[in-house]
Amino acid sequence: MTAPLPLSGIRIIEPGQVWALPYAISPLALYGAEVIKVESAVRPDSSRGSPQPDSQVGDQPWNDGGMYHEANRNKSGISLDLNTDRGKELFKELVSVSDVVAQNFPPRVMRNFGLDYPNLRKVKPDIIVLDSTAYGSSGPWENYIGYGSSLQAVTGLTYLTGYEDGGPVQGGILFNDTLGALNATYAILLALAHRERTGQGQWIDLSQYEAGVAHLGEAFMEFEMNGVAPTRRGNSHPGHAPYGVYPCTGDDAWVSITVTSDAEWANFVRAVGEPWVSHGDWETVEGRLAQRQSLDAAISGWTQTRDKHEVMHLLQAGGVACGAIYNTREIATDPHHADRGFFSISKHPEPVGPRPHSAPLFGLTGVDRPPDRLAPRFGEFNHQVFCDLLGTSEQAYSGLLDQKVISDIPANPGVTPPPNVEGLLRMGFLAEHDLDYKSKLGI
Amino acid sequence: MNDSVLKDIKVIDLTQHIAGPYCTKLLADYGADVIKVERPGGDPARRMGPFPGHQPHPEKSGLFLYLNTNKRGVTLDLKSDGGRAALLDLVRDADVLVESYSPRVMPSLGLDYQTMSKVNPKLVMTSVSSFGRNGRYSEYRATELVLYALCGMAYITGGYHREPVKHGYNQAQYLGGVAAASGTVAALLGLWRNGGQGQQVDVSILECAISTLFTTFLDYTYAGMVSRRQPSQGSSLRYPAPTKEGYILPTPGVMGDWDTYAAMAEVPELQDPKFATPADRQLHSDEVDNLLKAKWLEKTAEEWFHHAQEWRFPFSPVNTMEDISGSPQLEDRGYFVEFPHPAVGTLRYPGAAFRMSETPRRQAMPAPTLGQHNEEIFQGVAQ
Repeated sequence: MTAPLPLSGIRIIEPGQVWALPYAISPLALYGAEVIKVESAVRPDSSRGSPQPDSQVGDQPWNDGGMYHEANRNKSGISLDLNTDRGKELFKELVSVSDVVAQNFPPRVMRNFGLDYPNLRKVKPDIIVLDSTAYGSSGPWENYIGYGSSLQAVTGLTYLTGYEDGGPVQGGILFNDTLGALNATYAILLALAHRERTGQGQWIDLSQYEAGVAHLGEAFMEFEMNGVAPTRRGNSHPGHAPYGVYPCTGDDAWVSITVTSDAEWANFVRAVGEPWVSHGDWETVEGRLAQRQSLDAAISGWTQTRDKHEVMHLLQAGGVACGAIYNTREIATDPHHADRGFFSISKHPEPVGPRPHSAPLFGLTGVDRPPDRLAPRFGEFNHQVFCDLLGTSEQAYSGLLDQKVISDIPANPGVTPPPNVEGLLRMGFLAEHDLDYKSKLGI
Repeated sequence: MNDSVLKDIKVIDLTQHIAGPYCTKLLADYGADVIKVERPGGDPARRMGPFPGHQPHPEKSGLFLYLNTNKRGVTLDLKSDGGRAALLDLVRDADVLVESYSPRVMPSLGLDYQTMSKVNPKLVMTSVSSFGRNGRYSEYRATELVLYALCGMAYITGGYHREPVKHGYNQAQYLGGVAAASGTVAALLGLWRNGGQGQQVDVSILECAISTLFTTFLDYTYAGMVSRRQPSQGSSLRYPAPTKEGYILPTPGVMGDWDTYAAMAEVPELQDPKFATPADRQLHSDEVDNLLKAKWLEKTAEEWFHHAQEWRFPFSPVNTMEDISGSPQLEDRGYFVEFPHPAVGTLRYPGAAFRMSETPRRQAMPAPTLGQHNEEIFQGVAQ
């Protein structure tokens, strides 16, 4: 018998935007919390429109974007203009029947609305409020703004990423938004645990800057212990060899091979099974580190006539940590993820159609998650939330629509036009445009 | 003093290396009584640097010292009958057990979830592994680089004409640790709110790393676009740029406000209509790059950072660990914590990833020396 979902009966209000906050709340919604996403009646969450299905703009592009659908499944959604007095009153009414408010505007925004923790606490004394910001809700930089890309640089990660002979490198688009999101999820769960045990709410001040530095603990300790700031070392490892990326057959095809003990080197020698690899100097890690260059050249000579998947499975079968360098198509179609059910298909109405979305990053094996509900269309739950939950009369509800306190269609959708895919491909920004991707995904 | 959230929650910690210990650090820092069970030779992280003066010493690893604050430490040989019996005694009155072995190991020791839950039906058992508890790669071996290969991040990171490159240090491991801590507390909440039995929590570090691809992954599943390492055209707006001193990341923010960007950057030539739209700028990317790259050299990264932020552009300096150590923002917020350890003396460590007003992270107790709490814990079990 499986248990009820752990967060059923918890109501979370989410004035959140883009990724760092909506993605933080996503696993809570997938494990049973009732999440009400609050968007501006004028300008919706800017993640709503991107990426557009097949890079085509439909009639309501703000309801079609992939990022929005990935982060907002199982949530309800309303629109509310917090610049109006009535909008602020309704927000407070909502808070008075809720458990958590989680938001990611810069600190001044909710303060200016009078909707920051000190004010919300007067409405609901045991409320939990999470403010997720770039730099934290105090200090000289508190109102500085940052995206996931900016945070990667300021936390030290960019400086530490790149080749030994090159400058600092950015990895991915908004890496630190996901990093911040995972920390925010944990913070909210802790606050819920405390409230469960004591009845007390509280305020969580999450600085993405601080969360990012916490994930570079040993790099900071290097500076603290030895007074020298660490720098880039490509894919290499100070204590292990081989430890790197090697070319394979095909265009831009690579495999990573990492040997972290002499026993694993013996596994590598057995798995390769060719005379060149049985080199006396390479049997110890000291020998392999001393001859790293000739070792890497010899391994490249072996990999470059082989398929990356073949190398991965051959070496893994022999007990060597090895992984092909995957692109996004290879991740989406890898059978390991299918075995685990990491992706499951949500059936959206056209023009989105069926699309795979991912499971929560922590699997609770004792509960059965019901199939995901689709992310809410803009303003979809306005009537249900304002009338059924807050008891607004039908007449007053019409008035809210007329006064544009709430809206079913965003006044300023702000949807970015889809990219020129063929141009991006021609200029080298894309590796491929897979016209057959739907059949590969089984959608 | 310990008034934090997880006060009185007893956690048996069988983890090693990075992801598992970061999970139990997050539980310990927020109040849990974490008993770290090491093999007689110690957690392999004790042999990983950094070390003071680059001299390896099992009690001086900066990695181990950072990841194991606020824990008590014991040693047990789980391959011996006595070791297994002692572990099951510890599990009997524990709330949580966290382990980070590959999935076959705990069952092979006779310590699978079913056995544990017979001893303690309320137990939450969190398993964090490279590939997750099931699936065809579950017994594959992984390192941080192998995970970066398979998660797709390496393929899109680095120079257009060069090999893929991973992020610095151990980002995938830390993300796995945070997700495992969340899963643990979610399972505890389920138990407290709904009653019933404990359960097993399954975290795949690979899946956590995949989640950081953000829209790059959805570009494929929504539109068939496969991204790669980017060519350099237009890099002056996207990539770290050298300044008079240090590098700046000159993020333009919400594009469309190009004239303001050009005014902020003090390059009036960029207000020419031929640069008006993103497509125009891509077409003339060499000119844009040349104008901006020359301009960035006129001020230091620090100066550009504050200047651009005053104009509300999200620039950021490309910080080194020395910059972070002296950061006025972190200093003002009292981010770093400082405490003595018997082998390395007093050092500063990164502090809490988030602040909780009522249940702050507890005052740090240093990482345990190998077997430091054997006597006090195993005497407790015997009583």
